[in-house]
Amino acid sequence: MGHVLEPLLHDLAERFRFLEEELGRMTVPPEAEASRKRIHQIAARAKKRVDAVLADPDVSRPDFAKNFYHTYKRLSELAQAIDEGPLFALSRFRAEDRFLTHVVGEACREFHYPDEPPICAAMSSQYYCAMMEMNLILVPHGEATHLLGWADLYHELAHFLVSRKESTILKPLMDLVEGHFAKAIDEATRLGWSPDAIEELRLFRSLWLGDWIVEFACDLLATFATRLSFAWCNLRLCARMSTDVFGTVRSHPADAARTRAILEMLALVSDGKDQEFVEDRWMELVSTIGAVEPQSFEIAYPRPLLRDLAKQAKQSFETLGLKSYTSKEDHLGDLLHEAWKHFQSHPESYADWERTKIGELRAKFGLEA
Amino acid sequence: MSDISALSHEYQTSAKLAEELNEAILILKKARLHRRSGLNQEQRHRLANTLGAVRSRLANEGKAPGEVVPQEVVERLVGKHGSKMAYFLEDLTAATESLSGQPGPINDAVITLLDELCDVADQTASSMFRRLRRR
Repeated sequence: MGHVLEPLLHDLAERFRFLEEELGRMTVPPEAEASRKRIHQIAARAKKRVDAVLADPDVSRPDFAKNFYHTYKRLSELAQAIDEGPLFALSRFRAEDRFLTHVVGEACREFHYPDEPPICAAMSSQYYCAMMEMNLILVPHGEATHLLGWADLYHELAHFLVSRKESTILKPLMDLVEGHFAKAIDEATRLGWSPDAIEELRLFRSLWLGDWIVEFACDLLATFATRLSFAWCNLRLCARMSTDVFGTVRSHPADAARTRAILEMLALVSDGKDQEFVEDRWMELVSTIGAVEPQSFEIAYPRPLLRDLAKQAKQSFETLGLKSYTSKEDHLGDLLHEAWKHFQSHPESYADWERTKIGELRAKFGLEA
Repeated sequence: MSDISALSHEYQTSAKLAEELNEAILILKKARLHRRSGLNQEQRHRLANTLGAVRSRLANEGKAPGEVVPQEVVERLVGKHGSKMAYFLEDLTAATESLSGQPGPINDAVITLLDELCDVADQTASSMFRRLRRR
């Protein structure tokens, strides 16, 4: 072959051979076996693909070079993702991970999640996060013994669903955003807004169509699936981590906007009292922080758009057969509701209550307390 | 909740687009070189849909048909073509029509356009992958 890609492809083939071998001989607890098998198959398929490229008679042709380089890059990223994600997690799969994987499985069963539930490992340094291509959720170490954050698991599960069901969940929401901003930009132009103000509208549209819409969709699904639990979880997270609840970053919309969207979904799946209760507490938090809504906030996150998004999202979730939390039908859903109720009414005794409940749940899953 | 989930989503979407385009280009180039059949009707149709979706996003046409195009891919293309966007949109329309039309050989201009889109999707995927690793 004698091409720059040749040694690189041999190196990659060796990496996949190693991954395939490691995953093939690894013994994991039963909760992680399906995941091990799946990743093992992915590694084996990727190894075959690298071998096929190495054997391709056209690989050294200059007009094919870039395309085979692209193939090499994607496969190389896959090898790294397997090594750093599931291989790392599975090789150290401990009691906490087994328990959390059961919790995720229970959540999936209750809200009729349609795919194979991801495994969950308590080894994150980045709060809760989803590694999409690897079907893996990572959470901080302490989460196996604290359940107030578990509603965020539904947000992470939503990331998988939004990614896999783009045409049913994401596309209609993006159409609403496109429609809203197209109209807003036309109107602003007609009314003679300054070029800077119109440019700002374009920027908001672009941010919405980037990462924001995904985050909103995931929040809406988590609220749909857990109702109040996710609303409280969001409020606690904002109180803990927000630097400016009205501030906007590229990857995430403002916390205040996300809260508004959560309230819109809550209004659709819950009674008005729930929504009012969370909204009152949110207003209290905003006033405690001393945050002031900037002028452009309503332009960036118009309330009618948030309302339409919540309605559309609910419809899409129902189309996919997902189920909103129903009291007394959903064991985990009830536990999270109870937890938040207890936490707010008896914060001083909550830790003991939580310890007992987690022990009971571990026993229910057949794990040692 | 963390940036990782959002980046992971965007990586997945752009990597999928890059792979889809790359596979199609390889088939087309091999078909020319070895004088054999290229994309089948279904593959042509899917590719035409993808190009239509890219065109629609670049033209801000509201309800875009087909699949979701990663926003960063759109932004990179806007940055690249800037004031000459109208020509690029014309090229996209022509390529979409060529792929949707009667089965037959695909001309050089379409392959060049596909190569360009594939480069942009690849750059986006690579950039997301690096950001996921904070390198």
